[in-house]
This record gives sequence, C-alpha cells and structure tokens, in this order.
Amino acid sequence: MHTRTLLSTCLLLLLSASPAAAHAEHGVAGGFISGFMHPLGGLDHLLAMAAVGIWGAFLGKPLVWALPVTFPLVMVAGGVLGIFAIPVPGVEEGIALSVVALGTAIALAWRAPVAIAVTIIAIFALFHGHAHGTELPAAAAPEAYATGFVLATGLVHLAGIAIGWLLGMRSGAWILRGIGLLIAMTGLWIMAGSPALA
Amino acid sequence: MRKTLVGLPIATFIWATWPALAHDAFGNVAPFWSGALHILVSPLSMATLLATGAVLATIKYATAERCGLLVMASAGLVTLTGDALSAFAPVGAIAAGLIAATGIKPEGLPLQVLCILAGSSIAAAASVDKPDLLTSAGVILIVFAALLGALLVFEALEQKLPLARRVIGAWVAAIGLLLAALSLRT
Repeated sequence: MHTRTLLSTCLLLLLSASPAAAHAEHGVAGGFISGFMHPLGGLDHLLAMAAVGIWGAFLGKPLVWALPVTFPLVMVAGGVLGIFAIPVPGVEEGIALSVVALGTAIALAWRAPVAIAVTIIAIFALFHGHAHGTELPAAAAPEAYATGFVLATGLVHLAGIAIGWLLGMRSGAWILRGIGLLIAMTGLWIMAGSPALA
Repeated sequence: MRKTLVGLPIATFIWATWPALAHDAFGNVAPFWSGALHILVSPLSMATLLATGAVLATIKYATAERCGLLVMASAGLVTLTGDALSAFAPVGAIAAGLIAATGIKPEGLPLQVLCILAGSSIAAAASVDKPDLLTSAGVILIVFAALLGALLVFEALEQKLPLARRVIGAWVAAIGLLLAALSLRT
C-alpha cells in the first residue's frame, strides 16, 4: 500500500509540474518536453492511453502487463507509417473511436479473450502511433521527442493501471465502470467534433 | 571479478587523467566530464543502458560482470570515432529492448554480440564532438555507473514486479525503432 501511495503521489506531481515545463522549447530538453506533452496535451490520446491501463486492470493477468508491452511496439508500426508519410485512412476518427470503444469495454466490464483484447489494442495503437509519427520528423530533437512521447504514453498506461487498483476497494468496480462510461461519452463528444457544451 | 568491474573504470580514469593532473590539483578534465555528460543528456544512450541493464539482470552475476566490461569497452572504443557511427545508434536500443521485452535470456556469442552492439550504440548515440582518451574515460565511467544502477534496480524489481523489465524493454525498443525509421528517412 505504501508503494501505491508513493507511485500515485509521483504521478500526480509529474502531472502538476507540466505547466512549468512549457517554457523550454529548444534543444534536447525542448524536444523531450514537446514529445512528453504530446500524448498528455490531447484529450483523445490521454483518455485512450489511460483506458488501456484501466481495461488491463479489469482483464487481470497476463493482460494487465501484456497491453502496455504490446501497445508501444505496435504504436511504432503506426509511427513508422507516419514518419514515411504513408497515409492511413481515418486516423483521427480511429483515435476517437478508440476512446469510445475502450471506455465502453470498461463500462461493460468486458473480459475479452487475450487474442481479441490484444488485437483491439493493436489496431488502435496503429492510429495513435501514426499521429505521433507524423509530427516526429518536424521535431527539433527527434531522439528526445520520441523518448518523451513513448515515456509519457507508458506512464499514462501505468496511471491507468494504478486507477485500476480501485478494483480492490468496495464498490471499486462500479466506480471504474462509471469512469469507463465517462470516457466513452467523452469519446462520442470528440467524434462529434467537440461541440460547445454550453 | 567484482573487483575487476569496479577497478577497471577507476584505473582507466586515473591513467587517462594522469598527465592533466600533473599540472595542478584538478587538471583540465573538461573532456572527461564532457564525455560523461554526453551520455547523460542523450535519451537514446540512457534508454539503451536501461534496456541492457534489464537484460543483464536476468543472467548469472559472473556473466553479467563480464558483459558489463564488454559494454564499457565497446562504448569507450566507439567514443573515439566521434559521430561517425551515429546513424547506427538505434540498433542497440532495438536489440536490447526487444530482448528485454520478450524475456529471452541470451547466452554465449549472442549475448556478447548484444553487449558490443549496446556499448557501441550507447557511445554512437552520444555523438561526442571532440573525442579523445579523457572523453572516452568519462563515457566508460558513466556507462559503468548507469549500467550498475539499472542492473540493481531491475534485480530489486524482479521480486515485486518481474514484468517491469519487459515493459521498459518494449518502451526502449519502440524509441529505437522510431529513430531507426527516422534515420532511414533522412
């Protein structure tokens, strides 16, 4: 429990310190921060990554760790397509759909078979990777940019898995399913073009 | 063997800095720190070191010591080539990352090849601009420290989070593959 508290505090500090990092936009540090902020800056990327972790927690072993291993490796395939400017149809729609689908899977507490879960994650990872890869060649320090965004993606996965620890609490499953519903609804809102809510 | 592992970088440092130390108390050891810092500020070098540490944490300690020496020697030698091999820098990250991610425990020649690849890539990614023996000594020392640190962290994690090295390996391989694609494109 001590480790969990420590990890949660570290993740919270990382997220809260992000505005301070917005000033260095050049060199290795600038490239790293730019890459690190890319998955965190877009609501669609952020929710999908966190949803992968939460769904993994629902699915239990071995998928809780298989998904964070599979996702970055398949994401690279999409990233390579993006780097070589090979078009993939419906990237933005695919990313928004990933938010809806993963949110729905959590809301329904769907315990998908390993092969199906990995396939779903792999397809969505391809879209996310393409979006990151398209921006990589334009980055000032691509090495630092790539490191930053892979690290941020992984950390958001871990944050999702950490949220999944709620399963161990009384009514935790229902809280997580509620979070899943919220994620799915946000995904629908993104798919509709993020219209003003007021 | 453990004494050799600790003693070699210290001996290299003393030997390489000896002429400079003859002039004043500290001497001009700027190239030494330049070499060390080039590794520290290169995300790809550090990622490769991390993945290599993750692989070495899975094998016997005596073998890991010999492998560590091989990584340090390769890094030190490749540092002397400057940025001539920088295009091949992602290779070590891909190899070490994929091996850590898949959980394969390499032995014999493949393990030695991996160590040479990793050491060479760590130095190549750092792209030292004015390489000399002092710079090389700085690289060797920091590779030793970072590799030992990574090894100890993954050994400790092996009990509580045995899959941590696979997750980290996947991240490092992903970084390496992306940068390899990028260097092929340019």
